[in-house]
Amino acid sequence: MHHSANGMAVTGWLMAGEWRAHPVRLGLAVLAIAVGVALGFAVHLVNSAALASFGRAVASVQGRADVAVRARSAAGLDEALYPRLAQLPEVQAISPVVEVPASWGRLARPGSEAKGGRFTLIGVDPLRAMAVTPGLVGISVAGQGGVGSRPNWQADAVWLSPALMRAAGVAPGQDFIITAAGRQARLRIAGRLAGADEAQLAVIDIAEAQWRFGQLGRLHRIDLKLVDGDAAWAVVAAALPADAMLATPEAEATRADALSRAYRVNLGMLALVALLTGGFLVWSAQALAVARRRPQFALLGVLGLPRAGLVRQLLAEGLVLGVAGAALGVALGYGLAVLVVDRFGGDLGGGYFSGARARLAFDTGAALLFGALGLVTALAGSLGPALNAARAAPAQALKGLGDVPDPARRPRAWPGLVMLGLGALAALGPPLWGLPLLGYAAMALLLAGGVALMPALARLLLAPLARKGSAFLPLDLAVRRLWGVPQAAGLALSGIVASTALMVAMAVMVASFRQSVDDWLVAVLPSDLYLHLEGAEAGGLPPADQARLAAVPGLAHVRFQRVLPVRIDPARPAVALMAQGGQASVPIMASTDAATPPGTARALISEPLAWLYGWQVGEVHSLVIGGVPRRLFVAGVWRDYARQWGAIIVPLADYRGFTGDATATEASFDLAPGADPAAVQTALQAALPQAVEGQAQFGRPGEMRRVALTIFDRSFAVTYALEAIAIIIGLIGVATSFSAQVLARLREFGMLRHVGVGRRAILTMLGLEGAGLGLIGALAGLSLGLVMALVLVRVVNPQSFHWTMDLALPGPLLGGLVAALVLCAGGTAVVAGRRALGGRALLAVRADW
Amino acid sequence: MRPDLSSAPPAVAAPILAATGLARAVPLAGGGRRTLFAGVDLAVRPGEVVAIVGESGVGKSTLLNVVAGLDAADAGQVLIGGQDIAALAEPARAALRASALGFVFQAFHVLPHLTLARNVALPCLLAGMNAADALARAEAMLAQVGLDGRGADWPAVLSGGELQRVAIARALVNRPGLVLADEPTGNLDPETAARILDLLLSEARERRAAVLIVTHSDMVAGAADRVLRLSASGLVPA
Amino acid sequence: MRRLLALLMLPLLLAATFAPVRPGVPLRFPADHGAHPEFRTEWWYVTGWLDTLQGKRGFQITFFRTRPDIDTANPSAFVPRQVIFAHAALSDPAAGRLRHAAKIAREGFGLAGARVGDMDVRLDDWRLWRGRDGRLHARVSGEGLALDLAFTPTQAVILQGDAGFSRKGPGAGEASHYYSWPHLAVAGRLNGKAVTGTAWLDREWSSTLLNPKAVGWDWLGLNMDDGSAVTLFRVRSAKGGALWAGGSHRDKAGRLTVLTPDDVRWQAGGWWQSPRSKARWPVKPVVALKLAGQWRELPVVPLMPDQELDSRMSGGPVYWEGAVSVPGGRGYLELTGYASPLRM
Repeated sequence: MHHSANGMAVTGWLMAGEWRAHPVRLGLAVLAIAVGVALGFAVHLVNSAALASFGRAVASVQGRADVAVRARSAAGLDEALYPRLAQLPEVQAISPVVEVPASWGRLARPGSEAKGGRFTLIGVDPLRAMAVTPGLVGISVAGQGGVGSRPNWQADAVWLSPALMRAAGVAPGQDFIITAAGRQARLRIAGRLAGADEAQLAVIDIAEAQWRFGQLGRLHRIDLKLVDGDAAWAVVAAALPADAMLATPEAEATRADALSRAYRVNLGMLALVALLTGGFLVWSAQALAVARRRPQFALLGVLGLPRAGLVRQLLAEGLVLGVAGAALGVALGYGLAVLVVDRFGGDLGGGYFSGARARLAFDTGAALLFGALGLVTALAGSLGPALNAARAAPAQALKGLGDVPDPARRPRAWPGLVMLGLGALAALGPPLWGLPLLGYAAMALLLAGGVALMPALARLLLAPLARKGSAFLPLDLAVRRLWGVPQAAGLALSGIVASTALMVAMAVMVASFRQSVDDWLVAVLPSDLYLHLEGAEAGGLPPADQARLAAVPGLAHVRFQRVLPVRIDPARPAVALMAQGGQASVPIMASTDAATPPGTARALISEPLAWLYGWQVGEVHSLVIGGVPRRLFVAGVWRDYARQWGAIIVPLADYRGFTGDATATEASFDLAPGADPAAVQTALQAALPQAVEGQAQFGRPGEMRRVALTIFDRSFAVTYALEAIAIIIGLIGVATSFSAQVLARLREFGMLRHVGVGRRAILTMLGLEGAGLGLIGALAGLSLGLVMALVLVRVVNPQSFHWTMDLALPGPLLGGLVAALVLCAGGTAVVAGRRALGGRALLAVRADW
Repeated sequence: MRPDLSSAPPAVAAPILAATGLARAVPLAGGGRRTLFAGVDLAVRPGEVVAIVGESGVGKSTLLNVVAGLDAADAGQVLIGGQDIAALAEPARAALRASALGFVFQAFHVLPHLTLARNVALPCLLAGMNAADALARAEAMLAQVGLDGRGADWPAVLSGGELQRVAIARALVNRPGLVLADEPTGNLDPETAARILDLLLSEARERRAAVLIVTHSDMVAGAADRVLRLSASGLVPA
Repeated sequence: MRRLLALLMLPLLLAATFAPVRPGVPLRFPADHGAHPEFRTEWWYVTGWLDTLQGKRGFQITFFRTRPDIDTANPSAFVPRQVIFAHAALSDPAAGRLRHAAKIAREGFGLAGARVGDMDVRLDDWRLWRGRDGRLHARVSGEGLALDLAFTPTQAVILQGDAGFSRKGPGAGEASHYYSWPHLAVAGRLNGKAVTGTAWLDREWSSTLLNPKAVGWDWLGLNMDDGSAVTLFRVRSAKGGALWAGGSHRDKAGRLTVLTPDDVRWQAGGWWQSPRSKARWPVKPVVALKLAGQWRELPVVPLMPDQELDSRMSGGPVYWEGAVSVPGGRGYLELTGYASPLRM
């Protein structure tokens, strides 16, 4: 006759027993899962909130047209294109748009008190826009629609998006001073744009926009509604001049997505790493718990619990841990996300979604997904130990000491080596879908391989010590234990190695990045004083003003620069075209001495541009400048961390020749010897036309460097926080595994005391064991982390951000980390030992567990 | 026709345990194998108390494990209540242990984080009983072994003798046909040992459970109906 | 709809730069078929009945020109010196309600504009013009509605009021230049299918506004089967009475009678409530005109009750404009100010 065991009740009783005996252990396992889930979920929530608001902002500025013809550069398009397109039978509705970057108030560098902001100033013909982009047609104060009350659109009426009204603290009926394209205008707020909540956006009549902001005859965008079918698209595309291109909402969405994609994927990966570290912790905790409870399981086996029942039993425990951890993690994650969005904004200080305000919403699907990930982690962490426990012969296990590894058995090294090898191979792989997925796979494989290799490595490292022996008994015992039971050591080490490796990898990557950015800043800021006109893409200082600036006393040399965004690919963010006077002062990475071919202009491209568009030194490429494709000779590649989407430097004279645009948006000033920088700056400020006062930002290299690095550190604050969490999880892992091991070894300690080893000596032994483990773990983690850092620096970063950096090792930080780990591990072991040895050691000889 | 076990003499009843031709060898560290025992025949009838004695290392405990289906014999057959235990799949073998066998160990093996009642009730759960019935039966069984009303106590407060009483209660709670006891008094002082042995045998007899005891103790052997000596050549009456 | 844009100009102060409507200015053709950009507003209003294989249909094709009250030195080509608005609707009893389409754009870039000198108003691919053959042509399409029609004059134009100077209220400036062209023979295509019919062109331009006490406006134009033509209109006060009324009658022999406020009676009736706007419309009024001292009563019957148009989405009012018939004649009726008083 066959009974099926009442497994539910057995599980319940045993878990209740475990909870009574080891609440801290179970609590920590739950917490480990919870932290991983919480981080993953929080990062996801913050990301999607930020991206959604960013997307809404982009859509608001676009006004949700089917298709838009865009100017390739800020110089815009000839308005004659508008009637040409309007007369195409394929065009159902059309709306010409003037779009210029603009600002209100006084733009300031971070940290200053001045109040001001950037926004997009849009000029539309509301009569046309109604049919294509109704979101860009304002509602007047009286609540009338824009068309019928059309005269409202004339003169000084401006409609603001709610976000811009909030930012500028203004209301309908008030005046609003707008600076754009080097001009200033005082307009009256006629109402709010109902359809554009997130964007920093102002809309005026297209005729006013052309007239007041120097865009007569120019358009920047033409929104279209086309008849159905791809043929219509092709007809429109064929009708476009060189300086225009067709952009679909998909392309716009791709561009918006591309802006932050690498950043988001990286953060998501960090969150997964946290979850993975939590998984390691669960695994090591479960493995140790199973080892400790082996006699218990053996008894159940003898009494009639089948093996499958035992596996179910342990998985059920894992399930309970996982569910509790997942639920707690989702709650924590939501709280964390709310806090982060509240404190830092949607981009976590990354500066990617400026202007967009994130709205956080609880995402049930994602909550379930991340909860399920936590659950799977817990189950996976329990499965191995469960199968292991089920394999044990119950009769022997019942008689044994519980943890009885055979010192004669050598730990296997090949699985770890295979994973390390695969990791190395993956690191050499190309980006997939524009993302360094293989790089991340390499990191994961290296991590897993390194952890799997730990028992063998511990044995290898300790072999000389173990052979020689030590006159100091506690040390001798500690070494022999570590050498003899490397699997147990491996368990305790997995968490510490994983977290150390991750932390080292991150620390080295961030340090390298920071060092490279610092070096780069020094290289790109050779002058004494800089002037930058913020939001002046549509037009900067005219030559007369430039001459006034250059005439200010105390200047040895002045170089002017015109920077404007240019689009090469509609699905990618615009690249910066930098027309520079004089010798370019950028850190050159590669260059050619070859003469500039006739009919081409000499250009220097930034490293990201070279990555993104595959341009190489010595090649000739075509770029639309001033409405006509110009041939550029790529004379060099320079390092640039400021413009992730690429930048091209061309000689200012060539640019002016191409476009007739003689304005400048930036200037760098070398002072005459002995000149007082402050006095010169004041004089320059006075020489500026009043219209651009709010946009003009003066900077000195030292202060600009400081600000840049402050922003850098702030944007990596999240990384630091994640690192700290990883290391804390690692240390918790050490603490729990030590407590568990000490408890499991109470009989051993009892025996040692019986044979005359003092309590102090046992504690010393434990401390040394702990410190030894910490040292092995830290060194192994350090080596592994350095390899992973190399993957981050050489593979992941170039593939996601398209720039390279020089490897820099933060020596003191790494040294301190190793020392801290050794101390923590040793201390934890002693504390655990002291607690365990409190009067129970003698009893331990009699009791089995 | 169902045999009337209460009235039939032991010699006539079908054996609860019938082992024939059992052999077991263990691998040696330097290679080769050492025979623990071979040609072991053993029949235990319901209600019978059989003691197995022998020198240390001769394989007494291994024999017990083979009988319980926890270890496999190299040769021979074990029938528990007529069932060939080696022919059963692992889950069925485990179920058979839960329902037909009871175990008493030298080291008690009472789970420290379960109450006494839950410890005793475990075999009932493993045999598929619901928790409430199992606990009720465990409380009754604890009363039988002199631990009346202590079901909610934790093992940590019990003496060795009391722990073994709990173990005896657990071994008998499912009314097994056969109790396997491995040095049940080995960890107890002589006085307690005698009381515990008395308890085990009387409770077993009351339920007409056979008891197979492995022991070094003359006192234990003396209480058995039959005493057999295990050696490499087999199992012979002592 | 004809008064719609004028009404919408109300929030603005009158600018002196608009040309005034003055009596005694003779109308000249074809110049006055063309635009008068110096006036504030102007319309070309074609309404009529079409014979299709499925039966009678009513249609309207209207072009408005408005000159916004702006005076700017802005040289931008986008400055809305003139705004063109066009509207087309089809009354199909089988559908039970109007099918309509509308377009609006500022003048310029050759995409929208009204020619001076002869009739030629265009807005993207919509156009109303007078051909060299003297016929009028209209082409509009959109929202499942495509009209390509030619209108052949069979009679001379009617100069409304005092030789084209038509008073619209008791006030001095309340007037417009106004002529009508009844009994236009229609031939062309409706959604690709050949149709014929009879139409009516109304042409009016003005810089002045309705009387401030006016809440709405009723208009009726009828092509009578005997070749005569009737025009009636009244401006209503809040009490429902007429602030002003007028019109004309031209008999089959071409004799024109100009109607004064005392010659027109308008009895609202046949109320129909719109399920959409909930407004009630007197779609079966009984009108009467006094000709040679004799009152002639005309009971009006709509082609279908629901010829309501809701232009609130584009800032306009809810109004009723539809094909109607009277014993021995057909035409168009316009009712405004019944959903809510037109904003003053």
